[in-house]
Amino acid sequence: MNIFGLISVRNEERYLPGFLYHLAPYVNAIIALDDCSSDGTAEILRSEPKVISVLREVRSGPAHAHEVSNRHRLLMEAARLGADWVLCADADERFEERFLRRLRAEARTGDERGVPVRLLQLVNLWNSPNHYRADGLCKPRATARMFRLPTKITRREPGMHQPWFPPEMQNAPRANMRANLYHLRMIEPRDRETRFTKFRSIDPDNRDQAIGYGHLIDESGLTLKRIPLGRGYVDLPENRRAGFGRAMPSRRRSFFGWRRPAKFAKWIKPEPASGAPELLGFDFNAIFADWRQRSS
Amino acid sequence: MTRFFRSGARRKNLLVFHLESVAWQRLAAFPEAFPNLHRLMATSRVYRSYFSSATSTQMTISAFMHGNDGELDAASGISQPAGDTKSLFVTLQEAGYETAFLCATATAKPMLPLLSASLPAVWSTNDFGDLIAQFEWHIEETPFAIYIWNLLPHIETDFALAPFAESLEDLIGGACAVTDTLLGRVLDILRRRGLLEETTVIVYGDHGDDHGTHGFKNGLLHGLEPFTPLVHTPLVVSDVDVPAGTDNRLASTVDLAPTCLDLIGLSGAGSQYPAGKSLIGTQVSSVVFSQNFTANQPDAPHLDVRKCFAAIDRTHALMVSSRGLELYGHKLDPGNHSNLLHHFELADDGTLRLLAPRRRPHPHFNTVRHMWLRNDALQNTFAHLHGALKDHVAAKNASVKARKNDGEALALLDLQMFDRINACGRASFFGRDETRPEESLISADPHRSETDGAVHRIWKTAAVAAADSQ
Repeated sequence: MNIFGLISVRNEERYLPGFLYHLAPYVNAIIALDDCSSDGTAEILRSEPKVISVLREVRSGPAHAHEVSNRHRLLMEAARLGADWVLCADADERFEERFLRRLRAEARTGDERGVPVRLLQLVNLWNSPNHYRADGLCKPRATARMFRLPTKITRREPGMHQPWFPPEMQNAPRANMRANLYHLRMIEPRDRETRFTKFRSIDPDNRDQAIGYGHLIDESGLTLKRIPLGRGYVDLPENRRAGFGRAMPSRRRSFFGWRRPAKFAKWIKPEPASGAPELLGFDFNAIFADWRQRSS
Repeated sequence: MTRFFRSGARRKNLLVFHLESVAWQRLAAFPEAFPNLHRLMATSRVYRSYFSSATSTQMTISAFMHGNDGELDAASGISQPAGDTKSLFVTLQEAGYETAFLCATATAKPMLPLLSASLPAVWSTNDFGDLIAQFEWHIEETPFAIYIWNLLPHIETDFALAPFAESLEDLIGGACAVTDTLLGRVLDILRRRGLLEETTVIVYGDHGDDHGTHGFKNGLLHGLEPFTPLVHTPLVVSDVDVPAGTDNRLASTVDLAPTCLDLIGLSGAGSQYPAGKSLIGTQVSSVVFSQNFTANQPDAPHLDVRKCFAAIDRTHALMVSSRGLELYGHKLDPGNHSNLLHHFELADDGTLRLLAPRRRPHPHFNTVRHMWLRNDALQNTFAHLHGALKDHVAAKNASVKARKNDGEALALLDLQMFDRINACGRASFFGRDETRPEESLISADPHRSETDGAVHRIWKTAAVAAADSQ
């Protein structure tokens, strides 16, 4: 089973290294589209071995001007290179670590149950890498960022804020995965203001988003919640040291504190019904299937 | 462990990746299970003549950590090390390294409690994700020295993977693929953090498994006598200062501690491990040793396993146990099925003398015998291995006796075993209806009449033709 990560970027040298760092170990490959970047984005993409294809958009225009076209190209490229499932995100987003660990199991569940669209909760971090906005229009909301590629992929009509999946999947069964996708560019007030200004200039009449963009900077009724234990995300180690990265240590580790003594070896009691000792952390079905395929 | 130690010249990190139950034989049989290892081998130094110091994991780790194969000799069974050489990881810890021993396993029993004096506390888990998280946490402090051991390919532990496998072979290959996946992940983490170039990576196999080719052994698959298919294991060294390629020099587990110290820039500390030679130097070992039990451990007749020691050179392995001597040509007989000493007898002076077969052998064998007799190469090899192994075992015996209290039972190997050939299986080796070789000796210079077959006929024809032409 091939799971590809898809990303469209423009001048993302600030967030892109962390994005690749957190996602690359879990996917078979990453396909990127470089939308007229003028900073070090192209070099960062080149240096990541998991990035197997970098598409380029050379038409000038404001950010998001070619969003639909870019996403369509990414989906077509993923289909051409043999992706079964795709995971779509922006450079300033981070998937919850626990979700990434069970990524293949989620895809397998989707196949077995015939539910090809998998929903995550888009969580806007606010003022802190460990807290998110829980009120108003910025509260967590479902977003379809993981889906099985259909056999037919057509292009959506132009416009921002449309789903990643192609229109063929509009009525496909969906399931909520109880997994978070953390949005990092909402942490800093100046980033929120920049986003607000950008979207207002691109979409002054709110054609692409009827609710407008005021909520990006509106803090009335602000309610912040801490990311629950064990629901954190991974970022670059240097960011983590600065208190920016993995929002919280995993639940299991937290029982012992961050620097628990090594002598407390962790052991998760096997399920008594399984009959055999339980192993965790890898997709063993996929490892066996891959090795079987290589040796056949 | 303070920052003070680390403030000097930048030292390289050390990652030791233990390939459980992986010998060259397994690597050759399941190459598709090791894509990451093969990728690493392409850019590393691969030691093709590396032989593990023991057929069991615990003894191999002890030999690695203490730089000698005698640390357990005076202990009762495989017990707490009784030698006095400091463990490599203790040395590194004292030098300011962040050390960790991470183990993935499927059983909840404490891992390696008996080697607790040699190792950092073994952190074990059944969650590979957590193991990787531990690894990431430890490498935040540099320099680090981390030992990673995935126990799953062990023939007993891989039972946990049985639900994923379709057959025994699939289980073995899949378990190896899990190990390889783990290797790929940790190398990937090092590379992403920019630490790979400043990290010495040692990947080595501890032993192989013997699936009944030397008898049932009551189901025991490793830990039996040190036949070369069990102890001929991979060794891969990846370091910016070590040129990539194949190295055919003899190497042993006891060489790894001084090699590691050499590579990470602590070569001065290597002097405490005199039993081994740094593989970075130009020294070449002419013989390496292996064993299955400690010197003080008794035979296990209920398993049909004897305490056994081996001396191995580039072509042959000489083994000695309470049954006597066995000699195998591991280049031509990698499975160690043919004890070459069945064809010989030991003279009083310790030399080998070839016995004459009672029945004329097949012409194929004439070439073999001819080469054995032509310049005594085999006999010289035997003499070299015999002398080295006898000295080695004698030193072990002396060491154990010196450390044991009076009255304690000893189960040392009697050196008289070096004066006899293990004749077990000799009758079946020559065939049930075949008579044993005559107990008469043939001269070192074979008569022409003893040759036969196509070569002889050609010679004979040529001689007749030459006579006719004169």
